[in-house]
Amino acid sequence: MTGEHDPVHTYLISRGCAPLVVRRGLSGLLEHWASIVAAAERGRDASLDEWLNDMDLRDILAGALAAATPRERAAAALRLAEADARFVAITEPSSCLWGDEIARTNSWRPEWQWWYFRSPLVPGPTLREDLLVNGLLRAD
Amino acid sequence: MGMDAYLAAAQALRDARAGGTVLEVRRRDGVVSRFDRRSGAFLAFNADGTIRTFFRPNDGEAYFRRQASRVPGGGP
Repeated sequence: MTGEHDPVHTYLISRGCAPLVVRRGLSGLLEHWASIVAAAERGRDASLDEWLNDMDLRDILAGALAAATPRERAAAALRLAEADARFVAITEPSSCLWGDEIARTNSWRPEWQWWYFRSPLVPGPTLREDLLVNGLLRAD
Repeated sequence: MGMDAYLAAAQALRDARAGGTVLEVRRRDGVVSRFDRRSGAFLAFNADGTIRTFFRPNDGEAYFRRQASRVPGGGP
């Protein structure tokens, strides 16, 4: 499905996603999420701003899957589960990286939007500094 | 986009006059964030003009809005 008859396309447009995200569609989102996880596994030293943008991608993917057809969801399920499991393996639970206020405003909860509530087990130096400055990591 | 073009685009957004399509907010941590509605680009720079990051957010303007209301130190 493409264009205005594609519910994922409609969702991405209505959410106000970047044009590149809209163009890539569900399969592109899935591929992008897998690449984000792979980069994190390799120790990519993202800033917190970049990390939050990456987690937004996972949130967009969740919304896109909810809008997708059962067939599209089933086709994506295995690859998504693999990428998510790898992400969980290199992160640990934390408070919301966007901050408690934004979590409350958006009704985000750790059991649902878990991607916003996890931080890397071994953050790179830039992300580590940003997490410290933002009170999201203890200095010890 | 090559590195030179990337840097030039970041500097152009930093040096642009805020207003119109260029949204600006000074975050509570002192970092200035800008979002260009025309290009969809997000920029964050320090008070001395040092560019921290520049990219097109996946979530578009919503990302900028969240950045604007993010509270540093709101963690554990």
